[in-house]
Amino acid sequence: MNKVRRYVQTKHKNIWLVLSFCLAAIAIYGITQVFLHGQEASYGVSREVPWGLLIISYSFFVGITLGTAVVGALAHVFKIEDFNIMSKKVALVSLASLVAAFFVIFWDLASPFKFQVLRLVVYFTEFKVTSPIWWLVVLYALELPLLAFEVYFLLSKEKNSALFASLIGSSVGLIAYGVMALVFDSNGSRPLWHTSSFALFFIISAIAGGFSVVLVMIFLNGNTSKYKKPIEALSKTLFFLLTFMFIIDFWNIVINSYSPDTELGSTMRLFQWNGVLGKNFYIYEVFLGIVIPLLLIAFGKFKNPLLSSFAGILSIIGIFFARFDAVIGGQLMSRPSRELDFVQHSYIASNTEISLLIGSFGVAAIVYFLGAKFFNLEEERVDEQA
Amino acid sequence: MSRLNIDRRGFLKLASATGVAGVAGITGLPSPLKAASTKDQKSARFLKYDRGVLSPSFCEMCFWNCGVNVYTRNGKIHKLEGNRLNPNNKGHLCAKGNAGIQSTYDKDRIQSPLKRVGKRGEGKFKKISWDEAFELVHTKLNPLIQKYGPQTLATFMHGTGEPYIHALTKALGSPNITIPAYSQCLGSREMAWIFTFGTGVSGHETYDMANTKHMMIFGRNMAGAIQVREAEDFATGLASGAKLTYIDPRLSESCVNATDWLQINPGTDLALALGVINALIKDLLFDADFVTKYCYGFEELKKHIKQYTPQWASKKCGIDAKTIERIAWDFAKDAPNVVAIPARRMTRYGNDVQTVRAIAIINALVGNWGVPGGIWVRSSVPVKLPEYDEPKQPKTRRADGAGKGEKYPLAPVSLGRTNGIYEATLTQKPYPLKAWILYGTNPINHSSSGVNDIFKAIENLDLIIAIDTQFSDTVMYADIVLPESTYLERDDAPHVQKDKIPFIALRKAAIKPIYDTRGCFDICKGIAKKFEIDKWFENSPKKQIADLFKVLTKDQADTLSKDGVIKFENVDPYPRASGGELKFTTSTGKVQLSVPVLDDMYKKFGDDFSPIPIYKDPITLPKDSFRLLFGKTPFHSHARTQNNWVLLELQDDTPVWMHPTDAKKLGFKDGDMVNLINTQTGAKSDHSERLKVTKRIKQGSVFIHHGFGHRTKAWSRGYEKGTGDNYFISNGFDPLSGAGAFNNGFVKVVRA
Amino acid sequence: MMNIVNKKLNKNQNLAMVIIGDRCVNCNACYVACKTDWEIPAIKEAYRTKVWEIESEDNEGKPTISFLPVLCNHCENAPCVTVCPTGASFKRDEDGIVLVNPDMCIGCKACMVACPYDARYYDEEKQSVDKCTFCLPRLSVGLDPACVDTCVGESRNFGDISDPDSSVAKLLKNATSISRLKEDKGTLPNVYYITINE
Ligand SMILES: Nc1nc2c(c(=O)[nH]1)N[C@H]1C(S)=C(S)[C@@H](COP(=O)(O)OP(=O)(O)OC[C@H]3O[C@@H](n4cnc5c(=O)[nH]c(N)nc54)[C@H](O)[C@@H]3O)O[C@H]1N2
Ligand SMILES: Nc1nc2c(c(=O)[nH]1)N[C@H]1C(S)=C(S)[C@@H](COP(=O)(O)OP(=O)(O)OC[C@H]3O[C@@H](n4cnc5c(=O)[nH]c(N)nc54)[C@H](O)[C@@H]3O)O[C@H]1N2
Ligand code: SF4
Ligand code: SF4
Ligand code: SF4
Ligand code: SF4
Ligand code: SF4
Ligand SMILES: [Mo]
Repeated sequence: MNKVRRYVQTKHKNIWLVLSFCLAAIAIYGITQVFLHGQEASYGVSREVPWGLLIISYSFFVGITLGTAVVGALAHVFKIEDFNIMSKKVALVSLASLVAAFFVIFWDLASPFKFQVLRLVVYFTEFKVTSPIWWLVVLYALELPLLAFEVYFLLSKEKNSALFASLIGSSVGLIAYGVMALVFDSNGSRPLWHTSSFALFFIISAIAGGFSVVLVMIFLNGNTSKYKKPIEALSKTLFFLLTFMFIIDFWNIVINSYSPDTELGSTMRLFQWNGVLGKNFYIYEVFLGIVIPLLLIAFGKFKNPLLSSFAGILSIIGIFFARFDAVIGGQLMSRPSRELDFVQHSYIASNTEISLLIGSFGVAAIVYFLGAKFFNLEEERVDEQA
Repeated sequence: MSRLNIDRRGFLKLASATGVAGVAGITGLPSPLKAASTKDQKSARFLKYDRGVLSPSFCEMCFWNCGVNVYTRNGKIHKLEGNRLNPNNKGHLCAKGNAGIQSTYDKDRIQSPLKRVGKRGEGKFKKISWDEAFELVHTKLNPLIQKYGPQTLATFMHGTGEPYIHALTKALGSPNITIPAYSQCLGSREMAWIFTFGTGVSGHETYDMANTKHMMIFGRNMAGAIQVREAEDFATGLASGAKLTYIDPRLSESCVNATDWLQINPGTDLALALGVINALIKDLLFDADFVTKYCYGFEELKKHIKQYTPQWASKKCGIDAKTIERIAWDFAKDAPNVVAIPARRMTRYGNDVQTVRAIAIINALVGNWGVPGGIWVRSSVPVKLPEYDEPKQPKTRRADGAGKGEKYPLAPVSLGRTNGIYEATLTQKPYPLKAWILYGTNPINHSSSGVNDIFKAIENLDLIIAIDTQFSDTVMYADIVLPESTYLERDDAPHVQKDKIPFIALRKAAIKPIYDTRGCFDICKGIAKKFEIDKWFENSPKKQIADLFKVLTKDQADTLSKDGVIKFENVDPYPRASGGELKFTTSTGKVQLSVPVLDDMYKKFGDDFSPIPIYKDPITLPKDSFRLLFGKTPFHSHARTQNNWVLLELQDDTPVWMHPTDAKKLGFKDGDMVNLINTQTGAKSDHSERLKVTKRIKQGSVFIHHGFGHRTKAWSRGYEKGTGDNYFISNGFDPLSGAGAFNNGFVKVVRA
Repeated sequence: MMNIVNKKLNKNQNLAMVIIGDRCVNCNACYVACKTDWEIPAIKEAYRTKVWEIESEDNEGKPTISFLPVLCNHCENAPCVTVCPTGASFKRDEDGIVLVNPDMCIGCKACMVACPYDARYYDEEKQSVDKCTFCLPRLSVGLDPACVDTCVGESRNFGDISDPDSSVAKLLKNATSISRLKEDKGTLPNVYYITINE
């Protein structure tokens, strides 16, 4: 019986890898479009809305990197037993997500086919300390090796080094993500981003995303009975984080959108039910992404792996929409002068951008499954069960 | 403010103090404190500018002919700049002028002579050589001339090459020369001015807006229907504190700094002007010295005008009587440094000559002739220019009713009635018209092609020859297409302009023709040779330039070749202000408040011909429809630039303006898509437009910009952009001038 | 009125544009002159300057219009420079002109979202973000900026406002009102809008 199971699961594993490649291959459509027509013509971005789906995806993926890194670090710190295998997988997800982030941002930066990005080589020579993006690049350039080390140490069972790497990695990740939030928050010309709670929401939701991912992973891993304690801890924290997000959303957006005709107020009105982002916000970001997960987790009394992981999936989707709403919403309303009315721009993600996004999930999956295969993580799982 | 927005320098100091910069030092990277020098390197690429080679020219994107300096780099035109020394534009070019380069480098241009092979309008042509083309013209045209006589040919011309087409037409023996500038544009205005002052306003208008204290403008959109010097003068006048009374059913660009905007009922400017005259006379606001000394017919005017009180006028034009009186007083207060300005495209309501007559009378009454801020007096260039023999205007009767003994005895035979030619072609009366030559003019888009059915007229023609630079809607119907080189690719005869400061400007080809095209002179000469009348084509533009240089003094010649323009500043545009005697070339030698030549016609034909304007109501609106008003957009010239990519960026559609009350009645809201239906023909616009709901347009009228709605598939960018006003305007005429009246077109607006 | 002029030490010149609001006729010659001179891509989105038509109503409900030419303000406190991670966007010490060095730009567009005036666009051919240069190349050979040179209403004026004899300094001195766009953003623009009539 075990033999059969092992066989299937080995097969299974390859199927996942194959599927990952298929997913990544979807990006080829977008890549071809960019090659043939250039970025400007292929992306939905414009002069007024320069940041679109790719930046959103980037901020989403690095958010997952942060969230999962935090879960990993917490597991280390609180020495949660039985989390051993999961830790490795979580670290790998963190890494995979970061690679996916690099993949999407590569397509967002200028002229990918001319390797504009190589200009990053001289990047550090201009010491641009005033630029959040400069710090972002520096920090994520650090984060990648740190995460790689962590995975390495975990696998080589060097517990102390792994703990150390995990702590450093998650701290750098946290700072980096804080800077990521600052990229938006420090921008005085976009009132939506330039609010007191924006960065907070960004970071909290990223961490919530990490918790969600781990919940889902535990569920997919099977044998959930082994993970009772982690599931409860994760569910409770996620519940708390989601509540927090709900409060911020409520105060920041719902209340502000009924505020008088200020710069901020007019942007916030995009989020009213009849605003362009209204449905996104209320249905996907708040209802699907926060309210339903909260109910599911509560209904499962923080213990039900199925309900909690389902809540996790929904909250991940919700967080993606939250990123979309925040990044796009911040750019949709503009006017070069006070004498002018606000002009409402539009942004519709192009097929090219969507294909690159889907592809980047594929890239993440490839990294994960390759890593898992390479480090025999799946084998271990089967062994565990045996 | 951005929270990271710390002063850069301060931050760097901070950074180095905290050792951040130190880290950079350790790793051997350049210190940020050296940034200034790297910056210089970065700037280096911004510190080069190759102006290129200069050739002098003048603009042909519209008919105003601004001075242009054409700059080429490596044989490619890089930049057009206004010639500072040219009085037409003092160094500035409008958007269209700046976009002139695109007309030359446009791949949609006509690239070689063509012969039609498909059906007319289908746009199927075969490339032929120039010699084949000239031969073809001869083999097609000659039999028609033999059969019907040379008058069977009508020619249309608009642009710098006009004189050659003029000569060719006359040499071939046809009297049917037509220039749309008369009957499609300013003919009625010119006639009224000539009646009053003995001279026309002319294409280069003589209003001294830069120095005026008050301009009263009757629907001349100075800021939007741009001719550069006028827009400059307009802006300067306003910036120097001039008052502006701007009269228009539509709030146009010119209203931006208007003291008063009078949203007049369309077609009633005459009532308003008569009301103003009444106030000027009744309240003794006129310049009695000027009137006694220089005017003819004041007593008749005084008697005649009694009926037209401001109260009366108010009922007609919708401006309240108090305002009319106030404006008359204001205007008179600043007299004589004031000017009343009629529209330029005065082909509007069919009462156009009389309307402009009333406006001319306002000017006469305030005595602003030859006074700063009023109307300046033109001078000719003080050089004896080379003269060339020209064929005589054939004595044959014209087909369009212009000329002595005809229906429009006052319409000049050298300009003709373009609208009359369409009619004659349609009816083949008074004699068969079988051939057209079109030079730089596009009747399908510039006339009431919807009502007139110009397409039917065309069916009567056995031969259409088009000389153009691009495939206009009309060119698509041509049998033979002769491409002219663009104004940047050709030498042209010197541009000599009578003006406030008269001047001569040069146009030299900046580049060789890119395609197999020729200048108008060479084209006409090529045709003439086949007809053996090429003795009229001995003076090429190059030779005319050379001849000009022969009659100039050395200094003058040097200036002209150096600057591309030579001005003759030793003239007096303000003879009245400087105490000189004024001369008027009217039949009475005076400014004619009443026009004696009209006395007889008035008796014979009635009110329209009255020596002093008699008011007549405009044609009233059919039920449930709107009067279609239209006008120039600042970003395009007529119907000729709608394939120019950079101008299309500025405007590529024709939103339909409608008053909120009208919109509400019809249940429309701003942004709805609508179509227009011509109430007379029932035809529906082939393109739906965005509705612009705005108080900027008078209730009962809708407005679109002129020049769009092209159906020529050869235009890759301009095809089917916007709606063509030409499909909806009226086919009326002014009984005096015989020029067109386009603003009595009515439309229904329906949801798309 | 001069007190609002940016004073900055060790700057030789303070180049600025002074736009006389009452003189703009909305011809958009500036738009075309600029696009042509700098070979800006033939798409609607790419421009360095344009003119807004502002429609509104007066107290009596009568419609009014006014025109507002806009371009990069070459801000004294330029957020676009602050956020640029590569130093591609920089402000020249000597005259305050804000430029983009296309060789350094990685196209992150942080500067585009940071600019409160929407003054920047992405130029795919140059593989770089681009913007108004105050026509520095033309200035370097002694010419006026292209948009100033062609300005039909003579609305645009350019020069060194730190030189009291310059035409722009005089315009500022004699103006009846002076304003800059979105002053609350703290960017300290170097494009001034003035009126010269009451
Ligand atoms: N419906 C309607 N009709 C109107 C008007 C209106 O507002 N509405 N306005 C009227 C007025 S004011 C006028 S002045 C007339 C103008 O009427 P037109 O003179 O017919 O003006 P366009 O429509 O510009 O057509 C000019 C043609 O000249 C061609 N062309 C341009 N440059 C050159 C060149 O260098 N050489 C040659 N050979 N051809 C060239 C263009 O391609 C175009 O086909 O239209 C009048 N008709
Ligand atoms: N950008 C640009 N400039 C041009 C041209 C161009 O094609 N494009 N063409 C040039 C040429 S050839 C000409 S002739 C001129 C034409 O210049 P204008 O004579 O100024 O011509 P339009 O733009 O036809 O009309 C101007 C205004 O008349 C208004 N109007 C309509 N009906 C009435 C009325 O009953 N009473 C009054 N008072 N106003 C009325 C319209 O609303 C419109 O705003 O423009 C010249 N300048
Ligand atoms: S007004 Fe404009 S289009 Fe006409 S000649 Fe002058 S620059 Fe050319
Ligand atoms: S206007 Fe915008 S692009 Fe120009 S300097 Fe200021 S912030 Fe930078
Ligand atoms: S897009 Fe270029 S210029 Fe703008 S911030 Fe990024 S690197 Fe700097
Ligand atoms: S200064 Fe030069 S670059 Fe800037 S808008 Fe004017 S023409 Fe364009
Ligand atoms: S060129 Fe001058 S007048 Fe014309 S739109 Fe531009 S700023 Fe205004
Ligand atoms: Mo005209």
